[in-house]
Amino acid sequence: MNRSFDTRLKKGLFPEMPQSFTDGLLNAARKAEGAQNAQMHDTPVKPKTARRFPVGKVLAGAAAVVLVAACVVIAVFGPGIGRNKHGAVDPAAYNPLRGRWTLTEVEQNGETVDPETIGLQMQLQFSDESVTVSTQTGGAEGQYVYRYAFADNAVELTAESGEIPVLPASGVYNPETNTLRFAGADGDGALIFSRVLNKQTLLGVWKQTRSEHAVDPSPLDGFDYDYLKWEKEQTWEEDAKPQPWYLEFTADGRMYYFLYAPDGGVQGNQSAPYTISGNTLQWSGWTLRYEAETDTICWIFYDRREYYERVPDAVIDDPYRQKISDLRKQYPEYFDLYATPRLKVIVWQMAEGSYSCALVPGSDLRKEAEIGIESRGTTIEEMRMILSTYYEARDCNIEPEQVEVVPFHNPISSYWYEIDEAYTGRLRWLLTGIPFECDDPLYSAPLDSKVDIGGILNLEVSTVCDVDGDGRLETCMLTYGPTSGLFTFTLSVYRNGTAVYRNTFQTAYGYFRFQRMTDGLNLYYYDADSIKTTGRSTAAYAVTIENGAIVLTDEETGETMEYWGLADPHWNMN
Amino acid sequence: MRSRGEDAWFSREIEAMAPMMFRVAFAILRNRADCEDAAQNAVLKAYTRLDTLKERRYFRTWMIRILKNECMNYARSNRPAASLDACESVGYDMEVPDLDLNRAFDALTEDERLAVTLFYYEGYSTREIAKLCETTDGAIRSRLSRARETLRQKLSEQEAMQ
Repeated sequence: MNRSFDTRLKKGLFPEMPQSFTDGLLNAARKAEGAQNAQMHDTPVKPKTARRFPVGKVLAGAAAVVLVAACVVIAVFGPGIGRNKHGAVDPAAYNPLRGRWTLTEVEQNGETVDPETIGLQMQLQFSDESVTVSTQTGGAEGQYVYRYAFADNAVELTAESGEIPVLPASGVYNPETNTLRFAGADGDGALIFSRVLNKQTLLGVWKQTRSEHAVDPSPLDGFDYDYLKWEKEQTWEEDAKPQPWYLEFTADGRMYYFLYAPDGGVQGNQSAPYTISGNTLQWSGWTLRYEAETDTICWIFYDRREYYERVPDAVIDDPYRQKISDLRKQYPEYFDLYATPRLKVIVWQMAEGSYSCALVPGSDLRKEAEIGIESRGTTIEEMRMILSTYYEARDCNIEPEQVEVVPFHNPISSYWYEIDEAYTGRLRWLLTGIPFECDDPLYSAPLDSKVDIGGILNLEVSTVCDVDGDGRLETCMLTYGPTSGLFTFTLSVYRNGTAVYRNTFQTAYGYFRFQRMTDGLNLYYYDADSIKTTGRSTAAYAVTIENGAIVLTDEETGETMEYWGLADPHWNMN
Repeated sequence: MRSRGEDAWFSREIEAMAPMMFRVAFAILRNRADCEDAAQNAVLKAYTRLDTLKERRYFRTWMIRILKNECMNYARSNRPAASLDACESVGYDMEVPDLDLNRAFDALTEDERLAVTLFYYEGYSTREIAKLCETTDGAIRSRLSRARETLRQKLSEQEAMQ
């Protein structure tokens, strides 16, 4: 490259902004402001014309038709599918025709004829703007492009006067059978097209991983929530690398398809309308059917059906997401706050060991007492979970250091306690996990002295920390189980709400708590005796990530904790 | 009901931001007509939600975020099925200064194109872009790195063919 790459990049990319762009924006602004004379930037609509084509002639002498049609010159006609008269896309007008279709049946005089037997091959490739018709008849090939209009399942090819489309001008799309039927003007026959399915789309095992908020009473909902998500790790047949993707069915009646990139970003996405009727859910010609008797999902496509079993609840259980979902319903006022440059947590005590927290943007200038009185208090653990949603780079991407913790005495409480640096530091530690140095062993961290078992041990089952050292914060959660007889516990690490590491360990019965250290994360273990007597931890494990698995290393002996049943450490991430 | 002063301020800001909005929209949608539609929709949305903007100094970032979301939704609504879009090609409905570069630019994902535009043209830092795109600083750096690599590769291929 002759020129500097960066210079070329900075100068060569964008065309000059047309004046119409600014005018359009200002018109939109004026329209929004309610100005009487504001008019949206408009694109003139050209009139559509349509001609019908005699199907009988296609069937009787398709080769001749191809020759005639070869003279067709296509011009610009009406607006494309899904666009309104301003040229803007109408989101409701999703185009189910888009894609490739092939002629699979021909009806003639009430009888069905195999197109191959009459030597007629025809394929349609629909885009939003046009349809490309490819024909092969008697050794002659042809390809023609037409504009078309599509509304209420009716397809109408449009052509300028004097031109005869190679395809009958009128067609009907049947969403039930996902077929296209083109009929001739004289009614003497029909061409029936079926969607060409790429075999790549026929793969995959679906499992329900999460669902929140209710759509419509249907067994497909599974849960009482307003959108459903089905996720799978999918490998296209021709691709070497698996890429996770999922479908999301939202309450606004649309299905979104997301393809995740390896870095966690969304690489591809698209949407389509869907409908739920009884036990079936349909989108864009696809159908999922819930089979109540066997509790399976049947995925129907074209001429094939595949059945998938519901993934057991134990596997799809997602304690972090579930808890956040519950908290969001309980305390909606604490979510999605304007968090830049900081958040403020107001904390007050009504009795010993009883903390209440309220969350406000850092810019909230009300006095603490005013906020405390007007707010509903959460527990420390609830507030820590709420705060974790702000660390995960969704709307604001703040860090624990940007959370200001402000304790105060609630005037309606007679309970009195000292508020000093140690008290505030301890609260900050409980809420954000920021290490806190203090002479008082009750408050200091790391803790290997007597601890407030009832107050602290039960709190530290979640924390926020960069566990894998990639510079991004993760939320760590500890849950006990999944076994009941054997003592096991599971550590899950979430990034942006998605579990990225999860392992199940087995050890002697006891309790655990996280401790965020300056150089990483520790997990303190309290065996059954110490929990009842000294309150001192009996082991401290460093939490690290190695080869994609969580590893717990005893800080004193250097030994690592066993995975449950010596299983593949990744078993529960599959 | 907003005051005339607020309306005038809104219009002034939109006018001042128009070139930036055009580049952001064009980076994602690659089509003048779509850019105009998406940007106008974004302006309408921004005006109706203006009350949710806490501080005016964040207006531009806020506006770009709305525009980005609008463009992404727009692209999403128009994106052909993943397995069926191979035959569709991209054309420009306006003259671009460096056609080869633009063809290479088309090979990037929408997210990558947006990151390149905000970083090289609008002068945002990776951290600011991360906030704007609701992702992490690391992800933006990866996107930029990947984008540069792809662009270099595509341009080299084009030059080799010439």
